[in-house]
Amino acid sequence: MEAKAINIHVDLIERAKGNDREAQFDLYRNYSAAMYNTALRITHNAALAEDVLQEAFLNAFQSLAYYRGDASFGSWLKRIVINKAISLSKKESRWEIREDDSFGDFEEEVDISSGYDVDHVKRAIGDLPDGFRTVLSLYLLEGYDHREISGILNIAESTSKTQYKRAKERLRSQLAKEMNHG
Amino acid sequence: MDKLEKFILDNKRDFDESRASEKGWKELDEKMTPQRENWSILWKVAAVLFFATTVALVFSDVPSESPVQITESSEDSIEEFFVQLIDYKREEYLALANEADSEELFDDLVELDSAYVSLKMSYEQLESEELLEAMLENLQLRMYILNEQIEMLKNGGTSDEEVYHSS
Repeated sequence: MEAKAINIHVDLIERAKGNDREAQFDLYRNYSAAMYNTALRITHNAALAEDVLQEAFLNAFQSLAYYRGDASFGSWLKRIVINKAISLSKKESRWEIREDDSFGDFEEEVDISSGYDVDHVKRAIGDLPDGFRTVLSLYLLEGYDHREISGILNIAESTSKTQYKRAKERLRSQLAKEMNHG
Repeated sequence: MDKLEKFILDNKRDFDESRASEKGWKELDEKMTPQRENWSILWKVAAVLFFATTVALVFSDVPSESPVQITESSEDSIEEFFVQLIDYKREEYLALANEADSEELFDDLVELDSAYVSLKMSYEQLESEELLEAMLENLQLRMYILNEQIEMLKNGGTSDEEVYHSS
């Protein structure tokens, strides 16, 4: 027997497959906040993230008949959101991965962990270049490994690792700068 | 794991606090109804055309100077074959048609193209036979539309006669 992902919304998913609008709405209600945040981290643009959310759900509901439950519904949907976010951002020419993204010297890690706050870190992640922001978000916040990220972004695994390392360095340096300037 | 990574992971939940606007579901709801109807019409058309057109279009309607060749039988090369053929037919159509007609036709083709991208994206996730069939039908439908329009222009008609818009 094939291993199936455990879904907490099996009943909803089945009903949504049959185009039950109420079930589709319940799925939307359950997943839209997390999916919007994922889209927003990639696009870094609220209006575009909303478009991504709509198109991804539209796409998901249309393809739901083909969803077989091998991955959890959330991770299946998240992949659709991520693919959509990348393709829409590219279409708007807002998004690129620059292999040679560098930024000069950065300071050694300063121990400011006690002083980190979520808003600062969120803002600093938002200010990262597209490739850095996306790789860092996919790895740390969406929980993909570098092999998976290389597949999603169509880049080498080593590029994903390098981008992640540089993204972290840039983020740390940015946060240190903010701390120093109050 | 360094301190920054740990901080982010420990506070992961707080990084998901942005909210989309309230109108999201309403707009989605509106979009879904007509969309479904379009798709079902599209698939009906595609299904009817499937057998009638495949062999004729693909193998007998390609001029000898066509650069298109099947070299392998993998899914990718089938896709490549169709895409090349569609590009080829597109060029042929462009040489015959006026600008306004082209624009209208290409808008429709772009819609089919984006439906295809969605199908392909889902296929890469799910690898389902049905999706693959739908992808092929989508490519065939585009071929059919282009061929019909080209035939009509060659026979002195105009594409305003709406072979495929008539529904």
